[in-house]
Amino acid sequence: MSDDLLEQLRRENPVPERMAALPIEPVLARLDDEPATACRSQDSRRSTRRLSRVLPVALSVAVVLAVAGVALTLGGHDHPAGSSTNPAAPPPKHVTPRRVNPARIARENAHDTPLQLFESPSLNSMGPGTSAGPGAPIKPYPETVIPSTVRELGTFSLAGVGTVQYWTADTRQHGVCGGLRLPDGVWVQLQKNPGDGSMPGCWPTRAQTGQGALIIDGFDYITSGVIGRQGQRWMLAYGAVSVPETVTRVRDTDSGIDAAIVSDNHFVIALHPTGNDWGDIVHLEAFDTAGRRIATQGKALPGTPTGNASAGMTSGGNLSPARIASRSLGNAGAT
Amino acid sequence: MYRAHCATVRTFVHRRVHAAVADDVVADVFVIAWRRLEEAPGDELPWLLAIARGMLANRRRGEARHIALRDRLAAGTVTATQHEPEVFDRESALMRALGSLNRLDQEVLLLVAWDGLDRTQAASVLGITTGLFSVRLHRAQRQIKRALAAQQDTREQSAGDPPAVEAL
Repeated sequence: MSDDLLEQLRRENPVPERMAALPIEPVLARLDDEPATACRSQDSRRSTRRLSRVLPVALSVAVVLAVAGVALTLGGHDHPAGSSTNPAAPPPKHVTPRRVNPARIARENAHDTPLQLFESPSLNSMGPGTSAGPGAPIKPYPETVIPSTVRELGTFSLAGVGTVQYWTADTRQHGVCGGLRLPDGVWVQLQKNPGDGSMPGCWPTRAQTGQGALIIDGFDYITSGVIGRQGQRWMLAYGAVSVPETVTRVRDTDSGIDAAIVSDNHFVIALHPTGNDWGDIVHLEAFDTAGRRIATQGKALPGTPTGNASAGMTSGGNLSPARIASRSLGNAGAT
Repeated sequence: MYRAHCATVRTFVHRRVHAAVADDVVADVFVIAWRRLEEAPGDELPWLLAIARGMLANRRRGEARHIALRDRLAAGTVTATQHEPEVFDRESALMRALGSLNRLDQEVLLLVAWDGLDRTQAASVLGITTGLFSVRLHRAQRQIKRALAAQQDTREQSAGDPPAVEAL
């Protein structure tokens, strides 16, 4: 009887046949439209989970090392205390246990932090970004990141890619640090290398490096290519506008597209490259709070040289290196 | 996961909500699944169906609030309200009996009869043990039989009663 009942119910099934799968595009579109807060909360949940996995391991390591250190210290008592001060004496056998900070281990294990990215020596010694024209001097400019200045300036959404975070930091040499993080946690142009362009990291401003060779137009940025899941091609230009005013808007004059993020005089602008050209296709302008144009790419800022290397112009040298986030340190000489 | 289960999830949702909104719900289910991917168990289908079930419940609650608000706003001006067609708005006695059960009893029966899940999977969708699911399934079958019997009694009673006009 029960089976009969279930069989009768089966006959009343309004959708008896298995339907075709829904095309995946609506789902991907929703993932692309995920609000930044959702992404951030997801990230924070992941970080919490990761921390909860790492902390017990780190604590275990700390206990083991502490026990080992105590054992070694006790075992080393037969060596004279002053032996290490005697250059002729053999090196002491006792080993000072490495100080273990579980929080630090946990942080290090949460790999690929923005600070680690910016501190990576292979990424922070290049010359200025792609706004440097042909013949621009490319030479090492080591940058020392100020850890307390590492910050997420904002997020923006790209079709086929999802929500992208823009991280930045300041350097002691008044350079610029920038990196774009994809929804799966990888940095644009690093692990997956999906497109073409410059690697994230830290770079000096043109005012620091381009004296006598570059038009100091205030734009210090790099470009990176990203390819979306459905083959969408994005060219992302990101960096800083080194001007004393507060920049509230950055736009590309060719496409008319505004920057997705403008904060702390940093910007990210996302463009669809045309054809196969992933190169320097942006022509940027920056505007202040009153809507005045305060910087134009290729046009020298007031008080800076107006020539270029081929014209043999030299730098006026009166534009301080830009440290965008802290005006007290930079731009004092800019007019 | 999407390729493996989308069709089943879509069919599950289409059986329970109006076709106009079903695909929206399906897309939402996979967005939620993506967000909670780390929680996905080995057998993903019951997990996905549980997400779908939760979304449908949210949707029903949202609709109920919407209808209540609409009724309040329209109080005194509009007397009729349109409700979304329910899957149980059918003429069959069995479906009327099914509609008279509480939602959990309905779901217990439909997971087996319509969605073809075995008891373990169905229990997982509802977040209960297989043993408890079996108990609930047995009880739901008993309830629907009672409802069918009650319908039968009502029909017989109404057929046996003399017409009201004749009584006068």
